[in-house]
Amino acid sequence: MKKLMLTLVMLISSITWAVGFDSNVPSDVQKQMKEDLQFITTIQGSGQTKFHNEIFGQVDGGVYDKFFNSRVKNVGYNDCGSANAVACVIMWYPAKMWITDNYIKFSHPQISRLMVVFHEARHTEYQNGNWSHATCPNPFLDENGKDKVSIWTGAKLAGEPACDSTYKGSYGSSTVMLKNISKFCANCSDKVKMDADIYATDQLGRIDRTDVKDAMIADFNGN
Amino acid sequence: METRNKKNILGLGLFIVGALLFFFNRNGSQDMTSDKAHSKHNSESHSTDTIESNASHDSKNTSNDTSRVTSTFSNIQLSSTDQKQLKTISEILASRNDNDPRINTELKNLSPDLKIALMEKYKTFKPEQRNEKGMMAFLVSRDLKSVEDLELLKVVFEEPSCLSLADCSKASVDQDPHLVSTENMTLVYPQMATLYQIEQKLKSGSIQDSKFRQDIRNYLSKAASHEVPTIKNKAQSLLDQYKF
Repeated sequence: MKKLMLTLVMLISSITWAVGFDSNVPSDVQKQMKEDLQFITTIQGSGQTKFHNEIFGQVDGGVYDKFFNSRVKNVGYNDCGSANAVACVIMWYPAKMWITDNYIKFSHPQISRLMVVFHEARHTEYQNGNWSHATCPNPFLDENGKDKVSIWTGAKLAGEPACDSTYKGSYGSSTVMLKNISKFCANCSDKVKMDADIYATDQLGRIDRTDVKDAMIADFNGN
Repeated sequence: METRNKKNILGLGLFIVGALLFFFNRNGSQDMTSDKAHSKHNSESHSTDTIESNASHDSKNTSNDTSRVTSTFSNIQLSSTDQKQLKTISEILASRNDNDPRINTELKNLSPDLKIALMEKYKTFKPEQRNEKGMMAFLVSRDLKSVEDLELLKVVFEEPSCLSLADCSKASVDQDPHLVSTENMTLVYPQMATLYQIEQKLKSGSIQDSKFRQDIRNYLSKAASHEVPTIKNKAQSLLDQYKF
């Protein structure tokens, strides 16, 4: 009986998430992405901030499900032009996302994998200019007045199209989403809530306008 | 018709023989693994070994890892509760589901012995297993209660830095600035998870004992001298914010 119930739950779960996968997407990569997306549909929230309400609505699995499914219909397999990429979209292919082997090869926390695919989902919005990134200012300094750089290569972010000037862009919206999950998810584990906060705080560093960043921090603090 | 029946019976017979062979072969290999472990350890650590072998599912150095774990486990006696919790952790890691509800319901108030076992397991993970290492550091630091726990957590800041997710010993030459910060954060994930949990303790005001606060201060001071700026800055900000 238990097995039957489990099978039914799995069947219902697979029906709920409707994204299609190209046949060449490795089955283990597909499986992981489906499981991650399934997890996000189970989220129940106890509130949300103003910015979250504006971009997504309530903190709720059904809302995230709708957000993703209305933007991404199909997932393909690609190296996304980088040995370290996890996922990407290509501007002239609306509603399609590509995923790489790194989705399962690299040992990212689950919420970090989801952050990447929701970031990319935001980029599919051609009606909003795909929320193209802003060019990071030059110099682009951290809180200690030092250049923001990649930890080990030392590559600077200054002058790279790797920032957002709005909380609605891909970095901004995924920061808002994760901060809200961290704060309001009623059925998330302590680990998911911690991870959401850690990665969101990091992503906040990609907002290049101080006034926008301050408004986001105020939003997260309920002001 | 009769020939077809004979064929069906033959096919069924072959299937049953095949299934039996598979079953016995599988049990046989499990027994071999268990026997090796059992020759050195008592029944409690034997169970643990099996769990540990399952946990290191994708490790290149599975055999080495297991021997390292068992050698330490021989010095501690894990209770049946510890073993059950260890098994749960292995299952969660294998599922890659960070939202398993058992993280909140069954994995709190860990025994000192289980904490030792978890941090020994931490050392056996491949350096690239950032989420697995982070899970261990998270569980122990969420349950931080004593200077002994801090001692166990020292390894998190003493191990060599991970330079890239594909190979911790080599810095990546190809980094896409678009999502590089996600990669960078995962590289330091075990350290950031530990600092995050310490911050939660400090924030909640649950640590009042002045000696223990001093121990935490010393721990954070070491973390604040880490070579990675993200870790260093976080540890320093905790020292500044909570003014020990």
